[in-house]
Amino acid sequence: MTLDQLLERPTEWIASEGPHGKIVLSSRVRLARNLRGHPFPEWANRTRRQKVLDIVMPAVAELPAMKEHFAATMDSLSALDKQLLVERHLISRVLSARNHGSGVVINKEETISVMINEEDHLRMQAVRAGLQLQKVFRMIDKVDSELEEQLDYAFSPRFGYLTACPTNVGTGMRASAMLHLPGLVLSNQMGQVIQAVNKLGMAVRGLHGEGTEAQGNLFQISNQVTLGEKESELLERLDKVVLQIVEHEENARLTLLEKEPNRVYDQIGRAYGVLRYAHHLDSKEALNLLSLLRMGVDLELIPASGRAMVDELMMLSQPAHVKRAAGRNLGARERDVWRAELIRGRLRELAAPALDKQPAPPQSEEEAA
Amino acid sequence: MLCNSCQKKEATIHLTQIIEGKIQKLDLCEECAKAQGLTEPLSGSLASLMMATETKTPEPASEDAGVRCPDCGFTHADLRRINLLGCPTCWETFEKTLTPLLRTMHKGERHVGKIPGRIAYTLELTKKMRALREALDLAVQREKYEVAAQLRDRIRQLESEMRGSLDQP
Ligand SMILES: [Zn+2]
Ligand SMILES: [Zn+2]
Repeated sequence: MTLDQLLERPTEWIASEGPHGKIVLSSRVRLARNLRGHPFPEWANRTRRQKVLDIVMPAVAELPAMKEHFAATMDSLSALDKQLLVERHLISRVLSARNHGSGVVINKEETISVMINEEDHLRMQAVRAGLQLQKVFRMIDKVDSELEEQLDYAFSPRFGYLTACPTNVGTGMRASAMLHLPGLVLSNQMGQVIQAVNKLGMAVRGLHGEGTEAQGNLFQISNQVTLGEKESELLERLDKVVLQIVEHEENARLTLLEKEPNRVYDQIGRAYGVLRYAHHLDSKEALNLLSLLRMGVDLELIPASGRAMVDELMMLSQPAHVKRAAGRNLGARERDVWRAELIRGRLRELAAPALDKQPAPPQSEEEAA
Repeated sequence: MLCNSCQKKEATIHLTQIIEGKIQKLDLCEECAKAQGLTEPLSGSLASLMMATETKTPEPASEDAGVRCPDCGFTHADLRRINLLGCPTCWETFEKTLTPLLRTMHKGERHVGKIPGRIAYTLELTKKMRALREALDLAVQREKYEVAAQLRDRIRQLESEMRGSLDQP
């Protein structure tokens, strides 16, 4: 299928709601694999990279899981195409910077993508809505086992799956959950949470992974260790950490509503007001305001249909998606006008939020239950 | 361990991040952690915390210093430069440099997770082979030659099985 056909379809993990979907947007597991007897992509010359691509790409495209897919070599994609795929988390920034000898295969549902000649010969990932790391792992584990029958993986009994970077060796597995944590941010607890998570051997990153700043109160939590622990143990530990953060976030929101209901209403009300009526929005401001709107849905101040809308807008308001919607190259200012119009248009469909009254007297948890 | 920031006080807060595939460690004292926004709300400083920039490159084990990977020509100087290995064989070539590094970033230095089916099968055969050889030694020691002859046959059979499994891609 073409890139347009792929992008026209709703993204599975955005359109559906998974377990703990109020706070956990998605679960993702990626595996790094390499072929025996071939230099790693960063060290390989163009011919050697092309050779690996020629072996791996057809093997991936023929998998049952990839029955209907979008496949492309990186040199065939425009800068805008690449940016779109990055914004959808289907490829990494590292891959988007590559051209000859690298490629990607993505299934129709956008739940599985396999990057070829990124930092390793293969980087395959699966993603689903909500917190369901085990299920997502089983999806990608199946792909891996099927590929293993056709590809000669570099593996050592001692070091496990051999990777270009020592940080990935062993299982080659990086599992992560994308969390929406406005409560912890508003109540100034995020610094402590990051510290605690780091101490447990997990990393905290922003929306677009490695080295990006946290926008829209979105954080990715992932395992750092890949050697010396089984996949199941790593997933279980990450799952536990994520559940703890979810609980902290829920508590933070309750406490905010109890102690500072006016502040919460004010933040959400202002976010709605600006998004509903602004004519000029940059992507960072849009994302941060959409985050507050999402919390408004969780707190039942905004109709429930707003959650999927907000999640979709979080994706569609990113720069490349705005450019694509406009159908032509826009300057930054034009893009901000387009973005504001897109968001105003969508919010028009949403019933007016219950934000014009004083906050109700806070309920204790027992009463609410 | 001294604080990375002030280089004066004892570091009590330790952060490890893997950014762009590189290990980055940040050890801070309470005060500097506070100053860098560790206890502050989401802010520029928190973002900078999430992407702390100190990179550690592995020092060569003295044995590895002049070595060149027989498969890809990679040297230790290349490892320092690109922070990645050259090919799967490099893992053997630079084992002495890599082992202590793995200890600092992982839990132990041995893989315990998934094994590709073909290799799992070979490992299983290797284990069987070891057991058979031990039994053979014992049989010879005790002068049970009939048993020893049977064991030898089974070892030969297993050897050909193992060759078969290794030949297959
Ligand atoms: Zn200090
Ligand atoms: Zn090598």
